[in-house]
Amino acid sequence: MSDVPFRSGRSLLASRSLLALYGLLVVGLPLAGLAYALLGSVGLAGPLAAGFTGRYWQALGTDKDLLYAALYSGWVAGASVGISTALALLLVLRAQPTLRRWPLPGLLYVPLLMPSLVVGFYLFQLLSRTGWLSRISFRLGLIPRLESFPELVQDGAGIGIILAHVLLTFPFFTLLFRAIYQETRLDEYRQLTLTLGASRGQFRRRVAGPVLLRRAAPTLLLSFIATLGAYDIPLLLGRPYPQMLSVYIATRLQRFDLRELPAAYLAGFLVAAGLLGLISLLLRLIRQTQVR
Amino acid sequence: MRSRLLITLLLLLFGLPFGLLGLLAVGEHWRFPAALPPAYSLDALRSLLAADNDLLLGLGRSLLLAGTVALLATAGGFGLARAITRSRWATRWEAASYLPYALPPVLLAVLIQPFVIRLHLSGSVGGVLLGLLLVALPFATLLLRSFWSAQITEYEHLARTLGCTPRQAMRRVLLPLAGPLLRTTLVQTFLLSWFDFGLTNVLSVGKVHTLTVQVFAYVGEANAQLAAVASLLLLLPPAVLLLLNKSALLRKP
Amino acid sequence: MSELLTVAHLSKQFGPHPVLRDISFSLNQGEVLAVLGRSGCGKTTLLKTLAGLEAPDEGTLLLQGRDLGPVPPNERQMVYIYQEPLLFPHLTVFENVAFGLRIRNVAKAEIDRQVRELLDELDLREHARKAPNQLSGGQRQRVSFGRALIIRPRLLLLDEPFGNLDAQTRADMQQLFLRVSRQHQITSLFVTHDSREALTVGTRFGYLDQGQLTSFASVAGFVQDARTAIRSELAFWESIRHALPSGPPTA
Repeated sequence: MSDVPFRSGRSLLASRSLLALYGLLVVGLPLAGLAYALLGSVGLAGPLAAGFTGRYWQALGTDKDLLYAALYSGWVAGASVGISTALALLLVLRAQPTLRRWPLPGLLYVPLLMPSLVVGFYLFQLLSRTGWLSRISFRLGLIPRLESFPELVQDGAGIGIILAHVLLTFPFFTLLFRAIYQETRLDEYRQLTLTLGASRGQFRRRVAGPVLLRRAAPTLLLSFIATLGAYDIPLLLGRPYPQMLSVYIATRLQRFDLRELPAAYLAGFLVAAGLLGLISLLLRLIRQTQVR
Repeated sequence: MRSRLLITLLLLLFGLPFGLLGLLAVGEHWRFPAALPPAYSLDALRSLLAADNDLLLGLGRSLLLAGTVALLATAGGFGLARAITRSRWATRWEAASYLPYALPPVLLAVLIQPFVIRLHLSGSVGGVLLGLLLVALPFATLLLRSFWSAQITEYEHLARTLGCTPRQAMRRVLLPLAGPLLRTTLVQTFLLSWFDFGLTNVLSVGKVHTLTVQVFAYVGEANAQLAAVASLLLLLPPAVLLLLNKSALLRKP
Repeated sequence: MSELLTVAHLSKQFGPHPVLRDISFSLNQGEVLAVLGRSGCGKTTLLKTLAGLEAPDEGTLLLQGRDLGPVPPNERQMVYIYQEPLLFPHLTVFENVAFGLRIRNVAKAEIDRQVRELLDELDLREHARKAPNQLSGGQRQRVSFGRALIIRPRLLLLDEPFGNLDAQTRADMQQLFLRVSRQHQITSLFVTHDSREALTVGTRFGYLDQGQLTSFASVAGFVQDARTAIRSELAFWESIRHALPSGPPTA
């Protein structure tokens, strides 16, 4: 029989070739794309490649668009994750009994079922100046004219984008925090800290909050990275300027003027490299939590 | 009292999307500043039943694509997770599996597009499938890594000494043990590709009309009614999955 | 008695670490070789090598004179029993016991008869329809025994099978093992770190340390060997006995 010894040479070979194919797809393809973008940004690859040039890199010094897109994305991601975290903490620490009551356990799963594109479309229909809330306010006489309704979507500060992300993220964080709360048996810690003479507020601030945040840190950071690269929602609820990173790069690459391609490749390369740095930080964080 | 207020608030927050989208789908000639549509009709929904309806075709296309991605990613992830567990460089493979996450799907699509074009897959379902698998496969692999524990190896060994061939051990012991996690992975990878718009749109160059691509197209045409119908169709399968999953949860002892 | 298993010069290394060093012994039909060994002595590797789950670097295994080298684990009829009962959670007690017959495509009526008989013998009849998580620790280990016995194994390989049970259940299980072993004339290799358990179940004795197996010709040799620490244990109980006042205790 060929399968002796137990882990036969054949199955080992199959498993190695499977991994090799996987590496080619998951590591090889993105890295090749990254290399292609780098070559494209110095004029060595792409449809109009005309030999090495450093001028697109030099142009970075004067063209601030990419920097603004990065800062804007950072603001949106930071605000979205921050507000979602605060809301979820508030719910788990202050309204734990309510969270167990019908229909909340199931209800919190509902936003997980919504595609971000649909949420974007829905919020546009709800919050824009011609949207439902504006119409109702107008009918009720709360606002005299269409222009008096506050600019909530396609606004400069990205309020609509942030709201959409909060709507999608905070229920997920709530479920996550609740799971960690039970897993780490924080209820027992609560009783313990109370017998040690701490108040309920002190328990929340000094024990529960830090424990939940530390355990959830990798997921929170992953969520931050995902929002940083969000596309669907800012495409529907954002302005042409400032744009979030994904929208900025995609629109530049899809323009008809091929001469803009190298700059777009450069932006793609820089953003990808930056995000890879962030994810390696995340991996280190995950390993630390596992060790702990 | 406060608790009831909170529940009402959250019900409103999560129920309103369905209400407003439903209203948009059945409202006729709803123009600013009317707070409610002047007339209602089920025409847009009824037209779905016509055989050549675009939305229905889009629904079928999305279901087929997401289903294929889910099956391939889950089956592949199961084998890959095992191969990684047996590998000497398990931690490195695991780290590599995070790579596609580091990049937003749209950026990933943009980066691999030159190669997709060279493979003559640009604008085809095959190209979109490749792109979606690039995200779904590592996701499934990471999710299924937790299955291949030392205890599972012991179960497998035990089955072999009881007389199972490797294939019998897989079919009668390992697959039933992995059942719940495999179901979760199927659902998650299905949703991952079901929800995707950016990657599909870039890699298909607008030629593969999945439901999300259609929603975006209707929004661009300012056709709120059809966009709402398409949005509701997009919400349908995940809602069914949630209900199914719940009943599965209740059946557990 | 006929010689069932012959092990000669078995060696195995994991990387630079030798785990089994030149192990040789033989077992006759119906014997129970009790091997005393602490954790990390190589006992699990020894049992897995016999079962065909690990390949030895050197040495031969003969079962009734036939070379076991090329025989895969599923054709050896040697069942490995773990410290954990490892019952299949997706199957009932009945189906767990029936497992080995089902994969051999035995007729349904025959499976029903054999499983019922065995469940009766193991005192598990009323639990047949239960799921494994509804059983106590001792019951689970009995089901695990039933699952192994039903395929009439030529050799049972037991790896601290009662290690996770409380003292009373453990003693009951040892008695059950003895009864069933004698009744079915089962040959087994029983590894334990408990010298009392080794003396209870064994008909022959060995000591495994750092991959080296010492076989003893008699119980006396096993008891006398300082490494088994049985003598020091005896001395301890003796000293307690001497310290006690003689005569029956008063209320």
